Amino acid sequence: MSKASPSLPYGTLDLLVLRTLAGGAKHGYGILLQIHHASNNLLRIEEGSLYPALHRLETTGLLKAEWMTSENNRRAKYYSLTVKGRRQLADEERNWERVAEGVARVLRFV
Amino acid sequence: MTWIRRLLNTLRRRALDREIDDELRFHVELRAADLERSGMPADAARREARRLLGNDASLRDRTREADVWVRLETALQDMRYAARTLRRAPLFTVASTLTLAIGIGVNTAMFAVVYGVLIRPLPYADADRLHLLFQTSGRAGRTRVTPLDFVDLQAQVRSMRIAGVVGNGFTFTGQGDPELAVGHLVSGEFFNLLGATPALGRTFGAADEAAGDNDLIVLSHRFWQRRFGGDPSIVGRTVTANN
Repeated sequence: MSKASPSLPYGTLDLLVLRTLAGGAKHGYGILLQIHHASNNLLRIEEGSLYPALHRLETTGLLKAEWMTSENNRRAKYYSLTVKGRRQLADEERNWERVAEGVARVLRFV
Repeated sequence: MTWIRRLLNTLRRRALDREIDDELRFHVELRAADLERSGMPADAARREARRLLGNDASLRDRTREADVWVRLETALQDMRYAARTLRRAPLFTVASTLTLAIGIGVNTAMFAVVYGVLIRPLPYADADRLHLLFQTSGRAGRTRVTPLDFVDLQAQVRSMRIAGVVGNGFTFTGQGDPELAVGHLVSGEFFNLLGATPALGRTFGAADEAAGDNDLIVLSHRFWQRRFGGDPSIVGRTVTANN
């Protein structure tokens, strides 16, 4: 299934999760699907690393979690951004753009 | 550090595990449902959903550790940061340490006094039922009970036991230098009422009073030690003291 999915650079998962939650609260599976869809299936998140990451972000105060009733009427843990998380997202987005641009320039430099 | 981790894990394990399990189960169910919709048989869909998520136990461990470790690390980081900041500002450190030390010291001293005076129960029998009696008279206001009134009270009041105390000074002469000692004249009922027993010899009681024995002395431990060198043969001896 993950034949061509590129491996994510270290720390990128946090950025993707924060970005995905900027649109509103989601549960873990929802986050996963949205990342897959939004990246046009280019990015595949290791399911095993998503939940540890979510819990880490929750404990560091970037996310807050709440048990709510899901679309299919089940109890599910929904994550959403805290104010701190929103700030962190802005920082990381800026940071990412600079890194990506820098890497691209170096790659083009012959 | 392993033991701290183990301790924290044990404390939070059950609640946290149940939550993580619920969360992961929810994930597997949604994934399996999606796989079924795309044409996979229910059984296989469920297995595949589990496989994609990875080893249940190890995933749960890693998820939990993300919680516990972060908390612990944050605490350690805070402590290290505090230590660094304090080291960088020695004057502030000394000032705040002194402030804390003096504050704690003053409070401890204050509490020792308050405890001794207000809180600690008196070391006597039925200390909570002890009262000091005074009398009042129109002009003079509150005064001490006069000796004659005391005699009347003791004879006539039946609802309580009454003993008399008057502060006094005694001049000890004879052996060694003369010395003025602080003491009290007390009535025969005094020691009996307080339930006080002497370390050595005996106290006196109503019988002595009835027999007209007015020359009995009970020494405080400190005075016995100082003036008589803690001599146990002091019991029953005659000393010279007047007031």
